[in-house]
Amino acid sequence: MISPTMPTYRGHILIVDDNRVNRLMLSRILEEQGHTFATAENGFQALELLRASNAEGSPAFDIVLLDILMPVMDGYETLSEIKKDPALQHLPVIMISALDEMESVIRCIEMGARDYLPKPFEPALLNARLNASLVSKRLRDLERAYLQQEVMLRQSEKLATLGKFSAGMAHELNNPAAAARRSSKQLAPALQILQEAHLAIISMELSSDQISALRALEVLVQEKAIHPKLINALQRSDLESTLEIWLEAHGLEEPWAYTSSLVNMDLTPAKLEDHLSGFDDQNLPVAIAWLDAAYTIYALVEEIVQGTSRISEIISTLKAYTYMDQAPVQAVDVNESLDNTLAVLADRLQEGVTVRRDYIGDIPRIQAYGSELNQVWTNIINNAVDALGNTGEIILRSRHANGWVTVEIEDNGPGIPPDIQPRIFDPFFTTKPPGHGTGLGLNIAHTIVVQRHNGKIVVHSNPGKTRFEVSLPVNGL
Amino acid sequence: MADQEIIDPTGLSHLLDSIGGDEAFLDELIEAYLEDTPTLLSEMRQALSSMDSESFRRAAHSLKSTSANFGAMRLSKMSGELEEIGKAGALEGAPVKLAQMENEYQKVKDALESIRSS
Repeated sequence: MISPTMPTYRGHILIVDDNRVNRLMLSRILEEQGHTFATAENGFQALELLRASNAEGSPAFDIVLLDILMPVMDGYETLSEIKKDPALQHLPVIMISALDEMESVIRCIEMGARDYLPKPFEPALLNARLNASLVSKRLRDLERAYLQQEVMLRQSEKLATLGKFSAGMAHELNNPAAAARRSSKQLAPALQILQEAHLAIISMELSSDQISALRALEVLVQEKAIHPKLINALQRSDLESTLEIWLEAHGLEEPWAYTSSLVNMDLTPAKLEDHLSGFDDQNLPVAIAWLDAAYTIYALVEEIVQGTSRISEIISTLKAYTYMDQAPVQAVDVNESLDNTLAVLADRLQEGVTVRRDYIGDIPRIQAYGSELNQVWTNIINNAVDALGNTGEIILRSRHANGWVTVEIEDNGPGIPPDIQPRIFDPFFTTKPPGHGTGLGLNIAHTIVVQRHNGKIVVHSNPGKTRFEVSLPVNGL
Repeated sequence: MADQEIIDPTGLSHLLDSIGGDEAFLDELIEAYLEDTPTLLSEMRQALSSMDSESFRRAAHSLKSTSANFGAMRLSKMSGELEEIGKAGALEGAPVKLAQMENEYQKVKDALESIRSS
């Protein structure tokens, strides 16, 4: 009765009919055809069974056979409840109906019923209709499973990218953070020393000339803590020796402890004699100790400023790259967008890979999903770096013509073999060893360019020259 | 209508075909029908006295399709007419027709009982 080429599926079917004879007949026919079933006498019972099977993980129904005229809850109401319930709305519903009830059937089809089955029941017809519904449900279930899997893989690609970024960023943030932390820890002991030096100075009861001299020196201290005198190691060593002799001659114990900061402040013996001319060998050591302590404090503060500024800078770079706290669609300057991406990838681009930027100057801003475009550049540049094996050149170009902005990303790596070029944008296609790529990087880039921005992405590749060309309409959104 | 048979043998053999010729199951179906039909008929009587045209219609509809299953075409047709009356909400002419239908059901019942025991 069924065409032998048609696949036959077995399903779990809910029979909803108030008439016992109908339920018995349908049950019998379904049983003969190898399906399993449950029965309900009205819509209310049917919904209870459907919801229970969904909630408890007991065999889920594949199809509902639904009578129209029933007490308690009729077919229309049942159908509308099924279609309203997100967990049930995809379940195919086949209406059971006498042939003279076409109007009611049409109404049900309009409400979302999939098909109808005329009474009296014809086993062959029932089989064909059930089979058609089961086939399409099976396909839909497969499609859903596939989409779900794809969503998960895309998520894992995102996480992998995030992981790489996090590692790079952690590395970048670590140095300034460690420096700032180290300096701030040294502040308290350094302050204590300065405090003691202050007290020593106060106890000397200096003249107003001497106090003015120290005030002048403090200005120098602040300036030199930010811009210390830059000299080579040999010169430094010479200067320090000279200073050590001078300091010793003026009664300082442990003179070597002060020479480094004095050199940084560009204070030679001659300059010291000039600045501290009003000081004798009694109070000169106290002034030098104070000078050194003050310099240490300002230098530590400067290190903290440097470290925390660098951290802020890195965070700004990340914010620019991710378009954090900004609307998803922006008027994007692709040159800026490329630079932001380079800044974030700085960690990967350090060793052996040189980047040449060949941007056109006045490029129109394009309407785009900013952070998604950065993802496109990131994925292509990352692939280029991988292809170069950490040595080579990447050239970034931008240009525009006729309402289109084009970005080229070129590398001088080994190239993509011609036979795999047509497949590089396919999802899950990768040439990297297992565990090193999801095969989604270029597919994501393709989706973002083509589907999200109505743009184009092509690749030209020969050994020694691989060029990705991304063209985006200026007003494509 | 008068010359129609109480049970159309074609209809009945069609039913038997659709259940794979299983006569024991046919007996089961007949039994269910004979058990449930009096309930439906009394539901129709009740609906009539309470002027509940919707219940009247539903019971008539149910009888129409099951009766047709067994080849009881005249009874099915009478049920169909009463279903229409219930649908229109004009139950005035219904009592006479319902009495005729009850009468017809007795004949169908006798016929089906003899099929079942044979």
